Amino acid sequence: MKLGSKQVKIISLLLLDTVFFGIEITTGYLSHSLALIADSFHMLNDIISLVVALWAVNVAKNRNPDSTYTYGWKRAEILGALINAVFLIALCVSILIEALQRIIAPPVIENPKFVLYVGVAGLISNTVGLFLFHDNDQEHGHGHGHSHGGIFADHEMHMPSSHTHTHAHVDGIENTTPMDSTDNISEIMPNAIVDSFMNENTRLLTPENASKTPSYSTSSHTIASGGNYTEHNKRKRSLNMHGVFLHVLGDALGNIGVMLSAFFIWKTDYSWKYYTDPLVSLIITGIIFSSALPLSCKASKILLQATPSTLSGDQVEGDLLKIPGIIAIHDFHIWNLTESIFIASLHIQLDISPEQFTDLAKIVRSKLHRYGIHSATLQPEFITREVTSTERAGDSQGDHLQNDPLSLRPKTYGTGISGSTCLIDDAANCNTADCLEDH
Amino acid sequence: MITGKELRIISLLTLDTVFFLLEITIGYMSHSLALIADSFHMLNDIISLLVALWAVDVAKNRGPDAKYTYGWKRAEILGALINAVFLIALCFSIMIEALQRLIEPQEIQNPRLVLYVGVAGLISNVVGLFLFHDHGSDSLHSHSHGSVESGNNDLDIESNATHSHSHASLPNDNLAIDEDAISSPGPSGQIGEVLPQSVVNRLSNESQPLLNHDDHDHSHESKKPGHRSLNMHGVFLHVLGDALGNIGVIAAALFIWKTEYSWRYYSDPIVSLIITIIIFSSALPLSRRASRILLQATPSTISADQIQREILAVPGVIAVHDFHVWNLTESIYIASIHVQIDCAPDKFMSSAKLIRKIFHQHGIHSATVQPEFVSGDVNEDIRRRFSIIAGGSPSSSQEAFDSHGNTEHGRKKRSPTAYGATTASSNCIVDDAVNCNTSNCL
Repeated sequence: MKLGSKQVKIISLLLLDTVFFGIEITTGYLSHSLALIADSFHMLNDIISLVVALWAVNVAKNRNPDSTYTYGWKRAEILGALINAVFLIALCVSILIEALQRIIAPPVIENPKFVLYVGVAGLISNTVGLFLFHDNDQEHGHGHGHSHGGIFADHEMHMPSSHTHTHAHVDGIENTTPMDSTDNISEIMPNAIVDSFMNENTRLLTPENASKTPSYSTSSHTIASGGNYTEHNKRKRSLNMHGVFLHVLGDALGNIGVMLSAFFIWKTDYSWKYYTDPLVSLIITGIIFSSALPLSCKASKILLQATPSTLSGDQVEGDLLKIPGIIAIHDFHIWNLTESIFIASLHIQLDISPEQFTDLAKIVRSKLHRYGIHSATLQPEFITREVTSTERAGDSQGDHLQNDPLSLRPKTYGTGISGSTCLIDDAANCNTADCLEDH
Repeated sequence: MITGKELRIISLLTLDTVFFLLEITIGYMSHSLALIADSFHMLNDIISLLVALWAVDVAKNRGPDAKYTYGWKRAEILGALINAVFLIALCFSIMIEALQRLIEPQEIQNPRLVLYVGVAGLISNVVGLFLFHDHGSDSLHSHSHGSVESGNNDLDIESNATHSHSHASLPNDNLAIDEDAISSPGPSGQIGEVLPQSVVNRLSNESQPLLNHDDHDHSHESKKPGHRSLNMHGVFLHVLGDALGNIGVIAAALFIWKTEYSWRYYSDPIVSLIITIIIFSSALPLSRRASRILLQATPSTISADQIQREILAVPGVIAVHDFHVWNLTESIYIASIHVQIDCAPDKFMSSAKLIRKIFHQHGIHSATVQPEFVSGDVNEDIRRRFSIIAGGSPSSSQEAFDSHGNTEHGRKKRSPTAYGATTASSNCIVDDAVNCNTSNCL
C-alpha cells in the first residue's frame, strides 16, 4: 500500500516527536529534572494528536463504503480535526490553570540556563514540524490550479452566452474543490477510466478558445489571479491537517515563551522576574485558543450537517423552482460529507407525467452540479390528475396542492412531518414526526 | 419553557458556580494552593455544563432553515463528543500530574484542610449525581441488562400510561393485513399491529427523547428523563469523575494524616491514577458512540444489507445504488437511495410506497427515493440526450453508452457498490446523462 503525502508527513513528525520524547524523559529522569519531564509530557500530547490525525487520514483513505458505513469513512478527518481542536482547548484550560496557580504562588526557577537549552531544542523540533506541514498547502494549491481549468471549460460549454450564468461560473468554481492530485485519481480508479477522464478534460478544454465574450474574459482574468488561488486554497484545506498544524504551532510558541522567560529570569534581577513565566503562558494560551476555537466551529458545522457556507439553501431552492414542471420542494437538505464533498437530498412535487421525470431530473442535476453538488437523490412526487386518481381517492387533494404551491415553501427544510404533504409519506402513512412521537 | 434537562443542568451549574467562587475566595484568602487547584477543577465542570446546556438549547429551540437543513438536533451528539474528549484530555492532564508526583512526591502540608475540602466537594458532587440520578440509573440499567429487557421495561411503562398499546405481532410480508392496518384508527394500535415485537420495543426506547410537547408527554418524560441521551451521559460522567476525585482526595488525606509509613505520600498520585483509569474507561465508549453517529454510520440496530435485499424483492426493482442509512440523532434514522426500476414510470408511486413501507418497518421514517427507469424507450431518449449534453459526435457517445450498457448488465447482480456516493462506474442513469458524479467532478 502506497502511503499518501499526508500520511508520510504525519509519520515523519510522529517519529521525530517520539524520539524527542524518549530522549527528554530519559534525560529528565536521570537528572531528576522536573522541567524536562514536564516538557516531555507536553510532547506526548503532540504524539496523541498525531496518532488521531493519522488514524483519520488512514481510515478516510483506505476504508470503502459498506453496509455499516454507507458513506464510507471520509468524514473521519473532520472528526479527527474536531477531536484535536477540543483536545487543544482542554490543554489551553490546563495551562491556564497552571499559569494562574503560578501567578498566585510563583515558584523559584532553579536553573534558567538549562530551561533555555530545553526550549531551544524543542523549538528546533517543532520548526521541523511546521516546515513539514507548510509544504502541504503549496502542493494543494497546485492541484487546485490543475483541475480548475477543466471545470471552467465544462461550465462554459453548457452556457456559452449567458451573462447570468457566467457569474454563476465564478460561484460554482469557488464552490468546487479539485481532487488533491492526479495520483489520487490513479489510486481510486482503474487505468481505463483515468485515461477516459483525461481525454474528456482535453476535449472540454477545446471550446474555451472558441467562445471569447467580454464576460468570459473578465472571469478568466479573475481566475488567473494568484490571490484567488490563495484564498480558495486556504478555505478548502484539510481541517484534519490544520488541527495537527495548530498543535505543532502551539508547541513552537510554547518553546519561544519558555526561552523568553528563562532568558529574562537569567539576565535580570527585578523582584518580579518570576512572574514572566506564567504571564507568557497566558499570552500563548490566548493565541492558541483563538485558533483552535474557529477550527472546532468549522468541524462542528460539518458534523451538524449544516449547509456548506459557500452555498445559500434559499438560492438553490429558488433556482430549482424556476424549472418548468416543479411545483414545490420539501424535505430539502444540503450538507458536507467532507470539506469538499457536498450532498443534496430533496423531494420535488411535479405536475408532469411520470415519463418526463428522467428529463427533468437531468435538468435538476445540472443545476446542482453548477452549485458544486455532485451527489444527489431526488424523489419525484407526481400530482397530475391521472396519477392522483390512481393512487389517491380524493381529487380535491390534488387540486388543493396545485392551487396553493406557495403554502409549502416554509416547510422546504427539515425531515418529513405530517403537515408537509409528502405524497409518498402519505401513501405509506409514515413520517418522522408521527412515527417517533406515537410511543 | 425550560425542560427537565435544562432545569437540571442550570441547577447544577448554579451550584458549581457558587462552590467555585467560595473555594477560590477562601483559597486566595488563606493562600491555600489545594483549595485553588480544586476550584479550577470545578471550573472544568462548569465548562462541561455550559456545553451541554448549549447543546440542549439549540437542539430544542432552533428549527430547520436554509443554513441548517436538518435543524440543530445533532447538537446534543456533538456536545456529548466534545464533553467526552474534554474529559479524556483532563484524564490525561491528571495522569501527567500524578506521574510527576510519583517521581517527586510532594509533602502535603495540611492534610486535614485537604480532607475538609474533599468532603465539601463530595457533598456538592453527590447533589449533582442526585440531579442526574434518573439518567444514570437508566444508563446503568440498560447497560447491565441488555436492550431487550430494557425495552420490556419501557413497554410496561408505556402500557401503564396509555392502556391501549397493542403488542400483536404479524409477519412482515402479509401485505393484505398491512393495508388493513394502515386504514385502522389509532396510530398507536396501528404501529403495534404492523411491526414485530422487537421493532416495537426499539421504537418505544427511541421515542423517549422526543417527548416534549403536551402534558401527557411531559408526565411521561418525568419518569424516564433523558433516557439514552448521549449529551446527558457526558455530563453525568463529568460529575461522576469529580465525585470519584473527591473520594480519592479524602482517602489519600486520611491515609497521610493517620499513618506514619515512609511511603504514605505516594498514595495520592496512585489514587489519582486509579481514578483516571476509571473515568477514561467510561469516556472512551461515549466518544465512540457519538463519533459513530457523526460519521453517519448505519445505526447499530439496522442491517443495511437486509433492507437492500428486501427492496430488491419488490416487483420491478432491478438494482439499488447510492444507498445510505444514518442517524440524525440517537433516535431519528434517515435513508437515501437510488433504485433502478424496470417498469413503466407511472408505476413508480406503487413501488415507492412498498419501499417506503420497508423503511418504516426498520424504523426509518425519513427517506428519499430516486427512481431510475431503465425500460427501452427511456434508454433511447437518454442516448439522444446524452449525445447532446456531452457535445461529442454521435458515434463517440454511442460507444460510451454501449460501455455503460455493459456495466449495467454486470450491475444487475447484487454488487457492493450499492453503498457510497455515485462513482463513474456505478452507472446512475441520471448522473450519466448529466455527466456528473462525485468521483469525476471532484
